[in-house]
Amino acid sequence: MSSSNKNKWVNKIFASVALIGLLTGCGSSESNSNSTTTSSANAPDSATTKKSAVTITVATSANWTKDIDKELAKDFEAQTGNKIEFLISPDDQYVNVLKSKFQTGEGPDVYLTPSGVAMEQFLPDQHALDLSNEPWVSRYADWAKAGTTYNGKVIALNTWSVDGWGVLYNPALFEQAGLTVPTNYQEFVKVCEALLAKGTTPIYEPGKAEWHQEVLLNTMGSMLSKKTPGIYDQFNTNQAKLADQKDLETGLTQLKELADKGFFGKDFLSQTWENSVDAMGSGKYAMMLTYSTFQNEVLAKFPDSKADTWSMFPLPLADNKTWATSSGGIVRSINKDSKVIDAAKQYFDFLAKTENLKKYYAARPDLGPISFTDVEGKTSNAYTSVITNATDGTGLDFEGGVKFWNQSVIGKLVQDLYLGGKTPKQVLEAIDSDRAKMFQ
Amino acid sequence: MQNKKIYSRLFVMPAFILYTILFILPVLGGLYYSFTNWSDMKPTISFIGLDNYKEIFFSSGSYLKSIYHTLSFTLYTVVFKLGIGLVLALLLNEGLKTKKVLRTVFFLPYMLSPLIIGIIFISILGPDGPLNMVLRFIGLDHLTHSWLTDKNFVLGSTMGVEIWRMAGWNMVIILAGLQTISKSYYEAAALDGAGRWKQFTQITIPFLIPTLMIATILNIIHGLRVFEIIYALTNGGPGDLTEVINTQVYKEFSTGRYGMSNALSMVAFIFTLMIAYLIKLVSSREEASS
Repeated sequence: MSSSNKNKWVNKIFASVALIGLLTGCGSSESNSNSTTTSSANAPDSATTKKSAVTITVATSANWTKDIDKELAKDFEAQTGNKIEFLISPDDQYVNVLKSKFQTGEGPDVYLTPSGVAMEQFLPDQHALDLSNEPWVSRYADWAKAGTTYNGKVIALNTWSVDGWGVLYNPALFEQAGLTVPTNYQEFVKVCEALLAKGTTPIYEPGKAEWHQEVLLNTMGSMLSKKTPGIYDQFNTNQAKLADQKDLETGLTQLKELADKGFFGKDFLSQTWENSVDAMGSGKYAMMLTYSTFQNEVLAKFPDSKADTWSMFPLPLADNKTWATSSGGIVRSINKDSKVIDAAKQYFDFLAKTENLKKYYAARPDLGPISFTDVEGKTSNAYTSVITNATDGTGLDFEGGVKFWNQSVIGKLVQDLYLGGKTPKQVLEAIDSDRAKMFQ
Repeated sequence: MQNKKIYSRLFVMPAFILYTILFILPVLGGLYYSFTNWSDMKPTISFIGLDNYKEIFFSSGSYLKSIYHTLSFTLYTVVFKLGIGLVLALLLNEGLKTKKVLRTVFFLPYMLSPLIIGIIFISILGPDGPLNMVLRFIGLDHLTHSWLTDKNFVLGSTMGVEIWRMAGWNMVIILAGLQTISKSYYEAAALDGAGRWKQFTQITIPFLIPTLMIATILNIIHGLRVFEIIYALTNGGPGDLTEVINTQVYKEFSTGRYGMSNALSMVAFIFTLMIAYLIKLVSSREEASS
């Protein structure tokens, strides 16, 4: 074959590939890379159902919608004929995308948000439908109702779980080293020193994950609110400053000390959250600040790790003895401007049915206590032990109780603390300054 | 004569209308909103004058740092991208047998998405990544670092990745400039006894100046608009060590502070405009004088 003939063939092949690509792109009129429409072979086929069937758009962050959500959406479609279209955005872009959609009047029918005070950033007055009179509200656990209530109205459906962040550890490892659960900061340092002396890195800290750095500060929220009742209200009306809270300054000073002493390991700022299961499962690390169901994930990947026997205690920064919990994870709201409100309510009723809740929680080993009272709960060993070890009780964390608590901003400031760019006081002042902008 | 003028204006109109709608109006809109407190937490938008700009330039926040990082990122990357691009272009302008393959190889990084490059380099520059492995293998352990988290190296590492990405692109621009220089100049100079260095400084560089000027302006614009590579590599961190203007714009927008986000965009826009205009002015004067 001559050179020019070869070129012609190559050109033809490229042209064909381009044409196929183009046609494929044009052909996908009903879905795009960011949306997933559920479909089911069992969908009702009657003319009546087809006529009344609607599509409910559900905006969600990628990590908030699991396979079981899609499975239940298919079941819903099979039962009602109404379709659920998930509009999935990457985790770090979701808030931005959702706010932009609302700004441009293209809000989804249903949207997912964090519970508690964090719901306020999505302007519930303007966008969230009042769900107080929905039948499932009466079956809500107290914490679930509190975490979905805004200005006295229930505005969201919660099928998630209440949880908090504590120090997960392997009791067998502690026993071998003759260590006991630390009840204050000095004891915690001694435990870390003993583990380090035995060649084990005491704590796996995913320093690259900004949000996890914020969690370290977040754990001190309940201690502060117990010591100073009403402090969250003062923060939320911009009448109190974080920089004036001595405990927080002490906690951050101690956090820097833990990093400087090498308890997080060398190069911990390169460590990622995504590697945390492997890190803990490998046995190279003794402890980690995580949520109470994390051990299930380790056990699933490392069946020989005996991770189900691991326990938890509150992070004793500033001698904290309380366990700070969330306001209840991720919740779903209905857009009050939606044209398919009835169908969306029907979808919520479906999700809140006892059998569907059982199916949902069975598929979610990462979730602990259940948001409905008529479904039997399950708790991990970490959950039971952290409740015992939190001798001053539990309370709402900063994220769940304080407005304009920006994970990314705070995480970066804590990273800056490790690097010596800011003092603990300056970190707190910078958080105050960032929050103050939102009050202006 | 009059008809000719009308026709030329009519022909320009579609492009002018499109440019006005798609560029001038959004820029003017952005400029207007930069003087407001537009935020998704407020039901109304109020005019606040220069408050956003005061906060950028006079507050103790990280805005000034991000401007400084952007300018130093631009300065260093422009110098090295052009320098390496020039060396590559000179080498591959010669009669090497593999020059076509090598040109493609050096240009390839530019064809990759900055986000993909970022993800690849996160692995390469990690504490146990290939770069440190190679350094350890050849006995240079003392040179290993955590390139993307060490406060002394992180900004430099992002610059290095950008230089790697764009050097080939500069090579192509400069190669195009080199091809326009007639070989007869070099032949005449060689006959007069001029060596390679003399030929380079007296023929190549003077003839390349217009190309280098254009490449400089484009590199400066690229540098001042840097976002994807930083976003993918470090997301502006750790802390605010690699925060640049556009990562700040993105974050302000994400937190719903659209007024401030627009003000920061305007700062980047004005910097780009000023520097590009200055370089254009200098090059026009030099062209006029020559």
